[in-house]
Amino acid sequence: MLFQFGNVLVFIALAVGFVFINLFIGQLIRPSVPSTMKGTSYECGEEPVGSAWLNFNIRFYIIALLFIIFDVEIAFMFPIGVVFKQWVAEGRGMIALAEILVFALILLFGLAYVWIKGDLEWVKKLGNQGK
Amino acid sequence: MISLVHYLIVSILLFCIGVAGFLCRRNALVLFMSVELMLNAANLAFITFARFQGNPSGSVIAFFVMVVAAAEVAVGLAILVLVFKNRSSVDVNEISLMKG
Amino acid sequence: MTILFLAMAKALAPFLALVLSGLLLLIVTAFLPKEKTRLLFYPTLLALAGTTILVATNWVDGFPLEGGMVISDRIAYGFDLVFLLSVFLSTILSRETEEGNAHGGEYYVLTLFATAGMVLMAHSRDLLLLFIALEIMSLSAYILTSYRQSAKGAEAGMKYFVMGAFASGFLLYGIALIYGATGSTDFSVITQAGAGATGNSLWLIRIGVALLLIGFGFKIAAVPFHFWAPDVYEGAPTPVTALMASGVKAAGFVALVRLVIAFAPFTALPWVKILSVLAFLTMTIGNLIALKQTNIKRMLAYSSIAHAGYALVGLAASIKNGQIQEEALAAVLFYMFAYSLMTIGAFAIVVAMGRKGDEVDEIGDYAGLSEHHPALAAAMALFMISLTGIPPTLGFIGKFYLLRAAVSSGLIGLTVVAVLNSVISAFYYLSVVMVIYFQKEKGYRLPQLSYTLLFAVSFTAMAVIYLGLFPEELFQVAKQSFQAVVF
Repeated sequence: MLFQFGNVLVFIALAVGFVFINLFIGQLIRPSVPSTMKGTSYECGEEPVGSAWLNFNIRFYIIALLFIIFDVEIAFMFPIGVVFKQWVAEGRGMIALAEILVFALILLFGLAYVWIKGDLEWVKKLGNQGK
Repeated sequence: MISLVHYLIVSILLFCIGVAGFLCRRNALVLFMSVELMLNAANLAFITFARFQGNPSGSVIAFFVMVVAAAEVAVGLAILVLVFKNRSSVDVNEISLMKG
Repeated sequence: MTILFLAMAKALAPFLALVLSGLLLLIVTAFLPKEKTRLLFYPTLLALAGTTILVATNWVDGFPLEGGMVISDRIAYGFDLVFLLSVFLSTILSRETEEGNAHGGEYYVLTLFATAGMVLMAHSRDLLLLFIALEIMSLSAYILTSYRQSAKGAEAGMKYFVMGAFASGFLLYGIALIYGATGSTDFSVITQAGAGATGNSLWLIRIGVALLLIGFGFKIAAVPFHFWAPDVYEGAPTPVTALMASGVKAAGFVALVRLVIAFAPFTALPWVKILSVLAFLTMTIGNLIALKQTNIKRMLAYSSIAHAGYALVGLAASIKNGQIQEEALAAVLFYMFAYSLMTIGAFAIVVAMGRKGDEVDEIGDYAGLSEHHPALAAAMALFMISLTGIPPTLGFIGKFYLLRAAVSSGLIGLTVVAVLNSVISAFYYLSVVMVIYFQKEKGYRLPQLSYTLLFAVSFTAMAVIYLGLFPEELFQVAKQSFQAVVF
């Protein structure tokens, strides 16, 4: 048991050492000519404009909030999926199916609400609110 | 060997860090994170007990807690966005329209 | 199988009715144009009234169905009636203040969901379900607090949310420890396993119960967990404040009642001492700080804290002497009912005094009400007298039942403190009456009285007088709710 962990330890030591030894060798043999251009952040060849600390559009947050809710739905779906075959074999398949359907249905109501309200569209039409 | 007690100690530490963070920090976002830490400390305790007692209901409870935590975050962040829209700050010391 | 299914459906019908009508209204409000969402007022009242009928029939039939995580005994149905009454009345108040709001429809939907959470809390036989029901109620209440989207409302909502989330962290950790000690979150399993618990596991249960008490202490705003309440009560829209003071508080108390019934027999904690100290602090500090408030909503917030203290006296009495447990807990239920009626009546007048989006909150603004609107002034005076606990009002009867239970259980000291506190509270309640009747007016504003608001005020006022004169039948109902208490 302990010996197997020793393997892992050696691997960790090698991995960490590999990084630092390479950086150290690079430090020794590379020429050092700093310039402002080299100091800028590289964004796919585009010139960076402005600071990264700006106010993002509020839609990002709203979509993220919606995502969290529907994301967690999966946490309930998976366990049911895992034991579903067993439950069907025991003749309780309908109960499991009904429960997960009720759960999904309630979430569906929420989804329908945000959809109708237009909160899923990226550009919300202000005049059309509430219809 | 790692035993029940070790897991519990980690869980209690997490809980205490959450409580301390809640009481000491003044940024509302950090307060939310501290509360999450408390909930997750409870989750760790649930799963530890479930594992060591061979009783799976603790693991199931952890799922429910995760859902509750997600719902709390959604509501909390929405309220926070509202506060920020009104006052351009999430520092709880500056949010004091009412005395007390 | 079918018979069991039907029984389950009947027992859960109030909860299902609330959830289904909430979901239905959610979709309807999304489709309705903005200016028509206030029409949802009527279906909401209809849903609440229908649920009340379901609860009342179930109370009369009174079968304690025990299946899975849900218990449907008369304790649950009795508290359900308090929740539904307070939600019904506070919804009527909301008609006045939230009529022009862009999110009027969502207000009603969230109200229904919050009620569903309260009902589920009363019916929980499992700590996990209790926690989830509490969250359903609380999350709806957080949104309701800040849904007007003003700066004050947002601030109140955030304070409420942050404190509530903190409290639920304690609650959940307490549940985790109890689960660890007993291997279950079910009340009946816990009481069985707990009875044989010794050493470490008994200590785990004790610490867990202490954490649960802290969590619910936050919810009922007991001192020293009360500091969020005044700001939240002041910042929230007045109908929501009324709901928080009545329904949400009663929901906290039903959880405490369940905790006491389940845990007091075997944990061997100094329950009477803990609850007595809590009750003492809550009554005294609530009343003392209320003395110097000038804002009526803040004053009612501190008064609500103090009233939670009186109700805690009943809980302490129920443990002190097992013989009178039934009577003491019935007094707590009765007091919740009485307090909800009185305080919603007072808030209804606060709503009447305010105009849309511009609330009149200072007590000084009530000067001259007696000349311009004698009926409204008389109603406000009645509610203040009732909150003080002066006969022949409902407030007096509620306190009388509580203190009678406390005396017969032997908590003499606490009873004296409660009486002294009532005397202190007379100063600030009656000063409102003095302002209404004897202070010179300065720039009087006509209260707006619509038929719905008139109904709310006259209904609560008549109930306070009628039940103050003839309380016996209602108390019998409360008492029967607690017959043969078991888990």
